[in-house]
Amino acid sequence: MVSPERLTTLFAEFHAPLVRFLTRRLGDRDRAEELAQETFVRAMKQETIMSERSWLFAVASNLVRDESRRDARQRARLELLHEQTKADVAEEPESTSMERAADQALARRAVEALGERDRDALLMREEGLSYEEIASALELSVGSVGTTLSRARRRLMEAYEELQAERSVRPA
Amino acid sequence: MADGDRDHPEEGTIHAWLDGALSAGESEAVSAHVATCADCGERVAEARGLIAGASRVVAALDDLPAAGGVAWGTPSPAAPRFGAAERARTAWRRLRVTPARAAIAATLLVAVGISLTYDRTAVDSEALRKVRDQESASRPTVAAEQGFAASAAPGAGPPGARDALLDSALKRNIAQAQPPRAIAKAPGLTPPTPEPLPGGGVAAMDITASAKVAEGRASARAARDTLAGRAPDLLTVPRPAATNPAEAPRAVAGGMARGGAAGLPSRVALLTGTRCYRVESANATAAMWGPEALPLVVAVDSGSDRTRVYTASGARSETQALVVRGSSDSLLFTLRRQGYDGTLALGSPGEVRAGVMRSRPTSVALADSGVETAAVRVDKPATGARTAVPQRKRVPSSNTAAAAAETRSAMRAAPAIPVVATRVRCP
Repeated sequence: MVSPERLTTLFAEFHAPLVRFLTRRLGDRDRAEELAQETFVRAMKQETIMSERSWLFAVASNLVRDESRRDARQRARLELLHEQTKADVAEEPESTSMERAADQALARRAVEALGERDRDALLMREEGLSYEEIASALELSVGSVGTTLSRARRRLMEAYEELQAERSVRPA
Repeated sequence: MADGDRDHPEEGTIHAWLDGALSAGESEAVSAHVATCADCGERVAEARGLIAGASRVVAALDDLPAAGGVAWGTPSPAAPRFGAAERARTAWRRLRVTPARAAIAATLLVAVGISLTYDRTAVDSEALRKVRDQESASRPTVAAEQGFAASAAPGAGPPGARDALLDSALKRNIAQAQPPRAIAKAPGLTPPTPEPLPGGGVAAMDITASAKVAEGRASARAARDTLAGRAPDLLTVPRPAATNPAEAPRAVAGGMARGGAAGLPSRVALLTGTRCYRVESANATAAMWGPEALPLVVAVDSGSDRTRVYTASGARSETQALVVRGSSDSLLFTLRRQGYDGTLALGSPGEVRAGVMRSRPTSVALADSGVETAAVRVDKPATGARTAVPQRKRVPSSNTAAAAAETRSAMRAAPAIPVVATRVRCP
């Protein structure tokens, strides 16, 4: 069992980045919190954990992968409803807030254009994971992390710019 | 990894190099090659743009507070652009321009550009320092940081009436748009409720996330800092967005807000602008920093925090500067060159800033003793033993909280020159 003190420290250090990673990955904050909790529950059951951050992110991304395979269609429907509900209750009908939501939607679509591994690698990198940690979490060689990230970043920017182009052509 | 010794490095290698993930030997091989290869120099510049742009797009995934909502805080290397731009715009809207405030509208636009830097640089250094202090079981408060901000710019000069109004308005609006940070109690074993706690859970998120990010960025910066002397010039070649320092932050904020109302944001345009300050003696005397005569021009890239120093003639100076912290009141750099180190602290943000510059000679041993940041512990599968893997040979010591404290106390003893920093066009 990971000691309670160690778990407290792990939680304090990694819960927030994990939730953010999962939220960016899933687009659903509530679901992200649930999976983060599940990740820590699993951590509690471990004897010891070497390279903790790497392990936590590995478990989290595996949970995402398993879940997405299981409930793909259902989640998509729910997510769509969730998005629509959020849009309906938008508080400030000011142009900047809607722009912000549009930017966010665009970013989401661009990120989803990435392959799963590329996406995970990039999001982990954005949480500050080192190449070694990313390699360990995603079961890649350290040498291929750079290639993965370069491909992810390039594809992300290409997708984003393409979506921007579509948006500016279409009437707002 | 590809052998970047003689051949052009692959794209993955370039990214690994920029991310600070190459070994010292590999890193030097790449930087040596890039220094002499114009094509690769362009590829590196493009890669930088992709890295920064991707960070921003990822950051755009995060929700930001509506009125009374709760923010993530400012995460990610180069990531907070959208977030900071949004908060700044929210703050701007809430000002509700009245006849009385119309007079300072123009200066507020400049302050918004500066506050973009404030959010990010303040969070990085502050947050990293907080995580450290938290780990050693002390509890720094917001007041303590403000204490540091005050001591960081000693004798910064009396803020003018306009500056005070500016600062307080800006502080108020930024505080409104973003909850003030405070250290959360370490949560117990019971899982948290799904509702984020304003000022509590969010603050923990801010700090730990930003700390990790600051680490990541520090390692990237360290990789760049080990370059051979002239290489950085080649690497910064395409920078069309950076020519006009006054307009760049605003243009970028606008561009990111609308996704480029005036057209598509090119990868290069997603880089934020560079601000340049001419730093000269406040006494109209000939002053020196170490062996270098003032005035010097300090160029800060608000996107990546990279800083370059030029002599008055526009030539690249060997002195290096690193942003240690910025706040709404002050901007602190550490300065370093062979045989000397020092600090430059600027207060009262605006077109003309008062500040203090310090320098002291160092012994070679001191300059070479890099402080190792929290080592990344890598699991060696075969032995299962924990091994500390230092990220780099030499760390720019200003980027760790412990080193910042060390710098502060050492610098207090060094002689201080009052200076004035004026916004200028970048060389």
